[in-house]
Amino acid sequence: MKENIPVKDAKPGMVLDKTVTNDKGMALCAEGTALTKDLIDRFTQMEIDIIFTENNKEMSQEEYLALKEKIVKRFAASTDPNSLLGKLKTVLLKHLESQKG
Amino acid sequence: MENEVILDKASFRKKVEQLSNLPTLPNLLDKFTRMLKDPNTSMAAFGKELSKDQTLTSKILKLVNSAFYGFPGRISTVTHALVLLGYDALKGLIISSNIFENLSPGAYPLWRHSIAVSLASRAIARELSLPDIEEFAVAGLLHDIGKVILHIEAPEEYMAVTKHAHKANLPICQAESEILGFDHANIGLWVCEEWKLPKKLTIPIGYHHIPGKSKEYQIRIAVVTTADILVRGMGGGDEDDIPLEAPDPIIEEQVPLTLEQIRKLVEEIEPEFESLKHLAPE
Repeated sequence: MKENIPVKDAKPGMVLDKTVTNDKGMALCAEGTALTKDLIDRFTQMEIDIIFTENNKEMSQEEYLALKEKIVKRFAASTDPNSLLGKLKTVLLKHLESQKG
Repeated sequence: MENEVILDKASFRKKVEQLSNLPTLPNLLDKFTRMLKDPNTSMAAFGKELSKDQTLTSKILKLVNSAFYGFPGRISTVTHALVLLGYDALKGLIISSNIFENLSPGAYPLWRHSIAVSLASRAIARELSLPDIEEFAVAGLLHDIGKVILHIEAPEEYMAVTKHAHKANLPICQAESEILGFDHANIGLWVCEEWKLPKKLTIPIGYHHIPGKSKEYQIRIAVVTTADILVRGMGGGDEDDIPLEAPDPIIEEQVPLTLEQIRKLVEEIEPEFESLKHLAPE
């Protein structure tokens, strides 16, 4: 489902569901693009008001567990939690959990 | 036989060297290099000379204005691109576009991985307040150029390598060494030398799997290697199911990232990373 939102409410990570164009119809950013802070700032500078984003649905428990297992498998060789791999694993697992809502 | 050397190193190297005869590449880069060596060449004169080449100009402008590069629609002249990126970054960028153009869809994950590592290298260099961050971005973009060359020039042998890596649960570069007798970083180094890229770019490409072996540009190697680990950890490896190996300790000495910095980097890279999933090389 498409969601029509003002640029001021856009957040990094939201995915464009429709190409953003300027008032002359010139394409600025293609649909499917995930927003970044830079992009949102640029839209604001260009005085773009409204964009369409995908209705970001919540992650199901199954999806969460599958993704978690992938991370654990990827980091099978990491034993020291204070190493680069260990810290990255912690960050990614926490990040995944936060996406679960 | 599993570990049979199916590629002859000397003849493959020759093949790689001939690759630098790809259309448009040599003339352009020779001219580039000649002008760069002349201390009397001003940036404006250089930009002017470059602008005479229409194909090249449009290619450069398309590249630097692409969404991934972060300056969409803002750069209209080659001179402006030069000022923003610097000579060396621009040179590396042109090379990468020439090579990535030849990829088959099977190798798109490798292309996406390369762009993600480029983004991550830039983000890490920025986080560490290092100068010339665009050069880090280009080194990241080209770090696996050897794999790209293998994909294009020796697809069957490369398939044997990935099969072996999966079967024996080995890092790709180890599987390459066992099967081919050399790895993608070696190839990367050969081509970069052929293309006369500066050492600050060739060293991180050639040493990203053996960072302890280089006495020079250790911070650049460490940034690219850390970026590679970050991206692969986030699921952006070209061979996702091969576990990450712990890097040489020198990497963390050179790029000591705190948990908080890693969190910040992951949050910064992730949205860009997501949007890459919808892209293919043009």
